Amino acid sequence: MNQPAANQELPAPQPGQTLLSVRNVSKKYGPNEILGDISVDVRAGEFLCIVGPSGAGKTTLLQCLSGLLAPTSGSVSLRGVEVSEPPAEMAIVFQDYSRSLMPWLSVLDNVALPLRSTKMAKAEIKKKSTAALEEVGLAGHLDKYPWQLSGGMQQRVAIARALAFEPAIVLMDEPFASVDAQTRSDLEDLTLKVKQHLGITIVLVTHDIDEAVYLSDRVLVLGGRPTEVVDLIETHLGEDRDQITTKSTPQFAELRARVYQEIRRQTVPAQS
Amino acid sequence: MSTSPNAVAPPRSEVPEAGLGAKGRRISDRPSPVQSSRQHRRTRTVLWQLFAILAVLLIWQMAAVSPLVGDALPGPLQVATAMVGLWGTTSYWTAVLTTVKVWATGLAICTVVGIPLGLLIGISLNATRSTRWVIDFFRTIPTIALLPLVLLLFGPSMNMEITLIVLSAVWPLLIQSMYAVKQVEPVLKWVARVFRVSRRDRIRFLWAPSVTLLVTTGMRLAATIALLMTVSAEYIGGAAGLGKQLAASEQTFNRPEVIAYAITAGILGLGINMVIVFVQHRLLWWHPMIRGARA
Amino acid sequence: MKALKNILWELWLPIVLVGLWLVLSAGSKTFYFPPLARIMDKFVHVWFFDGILKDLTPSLGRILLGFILALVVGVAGGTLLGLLRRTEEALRPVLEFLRSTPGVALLPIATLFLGVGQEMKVFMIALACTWPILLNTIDGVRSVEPVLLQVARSYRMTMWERIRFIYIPNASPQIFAGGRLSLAIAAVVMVVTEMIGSPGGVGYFVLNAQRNFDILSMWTGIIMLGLLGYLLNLAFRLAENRILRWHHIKNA
Ligand SMILES: Nc1ncnc2c1ncn2[C@@H]1O[C@H](COP(=O)(O)OP(=O)(O)OP(=O)(O)O)[C@@H](O)[C@H]1O
Ligand SMILES: [Mg+2]
Repeated sequence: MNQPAANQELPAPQPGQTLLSVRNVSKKYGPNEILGDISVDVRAGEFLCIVGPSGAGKTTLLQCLSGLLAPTSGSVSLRGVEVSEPPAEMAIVFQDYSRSLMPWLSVLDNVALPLRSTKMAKAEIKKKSTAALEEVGLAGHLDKYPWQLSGGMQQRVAIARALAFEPAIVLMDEPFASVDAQTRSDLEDLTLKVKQHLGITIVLVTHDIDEAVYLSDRVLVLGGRPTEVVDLIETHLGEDRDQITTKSTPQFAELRARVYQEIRRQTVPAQS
Repeated sequence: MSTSPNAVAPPRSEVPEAGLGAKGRRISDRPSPVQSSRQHRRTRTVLWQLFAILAVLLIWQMAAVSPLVGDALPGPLQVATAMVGLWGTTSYWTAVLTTVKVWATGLAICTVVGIPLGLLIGISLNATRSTRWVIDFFRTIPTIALLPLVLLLFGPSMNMEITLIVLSAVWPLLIQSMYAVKQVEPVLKWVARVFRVSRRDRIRFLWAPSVTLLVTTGMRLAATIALLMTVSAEYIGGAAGLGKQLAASEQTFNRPEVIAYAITAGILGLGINMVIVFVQHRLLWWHPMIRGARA
Repeated sequence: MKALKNILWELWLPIVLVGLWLVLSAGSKTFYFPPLARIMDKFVHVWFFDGILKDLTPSLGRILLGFILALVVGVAGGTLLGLLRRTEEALRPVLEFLRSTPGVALLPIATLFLGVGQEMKVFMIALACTWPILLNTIDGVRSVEPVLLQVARSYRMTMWERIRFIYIPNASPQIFAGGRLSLAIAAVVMVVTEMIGSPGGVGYFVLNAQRNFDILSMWTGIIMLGLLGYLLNLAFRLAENRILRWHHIKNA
């Protein structure tokens, strides 16, 4: 379980090496240019958060990264291989958790569904799915159905499904947007924990600046029209983070202020 | 149409009640106060329903004996007697069986043709656009208008009826199947792509459960229309079955029997509807609409 | 350019089908399938304008009358039953039975009391059409958001205002769905009652032509009925789009 991308022949990427490379990606919907010219390298093993104003095209960018949507120009490659379909080593946690789980399958079956299509034995599938659900703290709810769970629990099922898939990289689109504050910080810590535990790479889109700074190794700030990269900030907050202590450090406050200003400059152009 | 075994409802008792949440497991077998009051309410509703049926019968009886109507309308007792009398005849049962057989054959053909064709057309945007006018046209024209023509071609036979049934009942099924494909949740389609779910599993765990609601709704519509067409074709066209018996009783002025046959047709329709709703509930126990949650 | 392509995609199949019929039936010697060209000649001859006056107008009149009656009864009754929950629950089995009964089976009873004339035809159309509208109205009234009702109470809306501004608008998408089904049923019942009833109407015309082995006329009648059904449905759709614009925009 702690061997990332077990279903992949390629050697595990060294930490720090480029895993996902985004080169001059732009996207137009008809005449509307949404994404301008975006380039960024996602390093193996890092936690990258993407922030930007609403409607900036964060979801669109994530869809281009995953190969669900073809960029108008530019390219995305995963370890040098061009991405045109969702790659085998990538998992996605969709924003709309209630719609991304199948109501006719139990929690366990929802998590197990992707594994059924691999060559894994039945018992192995069950073991892996159960383990992933235990990891997110849902061990007692395997036989429930998604609609019997709270929003936060459903979102954890979606996360468990991504983990059980054993990807090298997970893309998450505002995964904690529609849960209450307490559940949200729990889910944030859970995500940090499993990331460290499994050594995977995570790209996470969020609206919440605190969340972005708290979670990430680097924060990618998007803005402008069409949307471009405004800044890419290293947080240097270290491995061990805590909702209270980390968030009360001066370093955190400074990072937060910086991201905040950068976003505000985008939304209030009169200031510049 | 094969539905995945997982999409079939587990026995009722195993489905946890929605809303019980984490503590849904029952502690003892003793009914809780909530359950017993629900039980109580159920019994009361059934009693009221029986009462309503009795009231309808009573009004009917009173209308039958009232001087206003004269003796044109037989009362429920007379009809019941006639009905019991009919149950003793083979012609009654032959008529019922013939009607059911014709109806079922016609509906089976509609199913075999309508569902796959609808699903296929629904998948392709170009197929949808190309067939839009044709489907719209055939769906809206009263197919019964073809009865005289079909009667000339086949005579008062089973083929005549089945032709009419298929021509009129296939459309709702086809259209609902078409819509069903288009209503599949796009996020779930993405999930299947991202998590590389195999084609077989996609059909079994994504497409089949997703289209079930609308396809079974289409079945219900088609079954109702098919029965209407069967009885109409028998009544006007003179093919064997309930409709023909109805016309025959009418011609001999045997009014209690006329009503008994009409009621038989009603019971048939009700039974068909109940079976389809039952199957729908078995297949779609997870659906918000069926489990009674607000969408 | 794009619009043109769309129209082409939608039109090619109907054009091909009519073309095929035209070509394949051109040299037809089969008694039952005369050449389409001759049917069209006959169509103009029969229907413009004697036939329209003599047979189409009565048909149109009775289907509209029956349908409107059903609409009034169905919506009013459905709203009432939707509000009176207990009563509706008690009446459910009776309603389900009436709804499931194929309308044609009630024809002999209707002719018993109303004869074979206009009253019977309108009554049968209205009766068969009422059930889908009634049951859908009940469901629609039931599905009103509880929050909306609380709002209504806090503004002290009268019952009539609630019905007018909350219940009926909320139920209208379902009422229209029921109405569309009813319209299809209405056309069938109209044809059937005309076939067995007193002379007059397109349904009677078709059956009569068949009995006289006037196959050409029969075909023109069938086509006329097809057009009637199609145009009625089209008119209904236009009305629906107009009235339910808010609903379609909301769900777009
Ligand atoms: N399928 C589409 N067709 C046309 N325009 C689209 C489509 N999807 C998104 N857009 C437009 O692209 C822009 C960016 O959308 P996107 O969903 O990527 O924004 P976002 O940054 O994720 O916003 P939010 O933070 O609110 O989720 C929006 O202006 C939206 O209107
Ligand atoms: Mg978004």
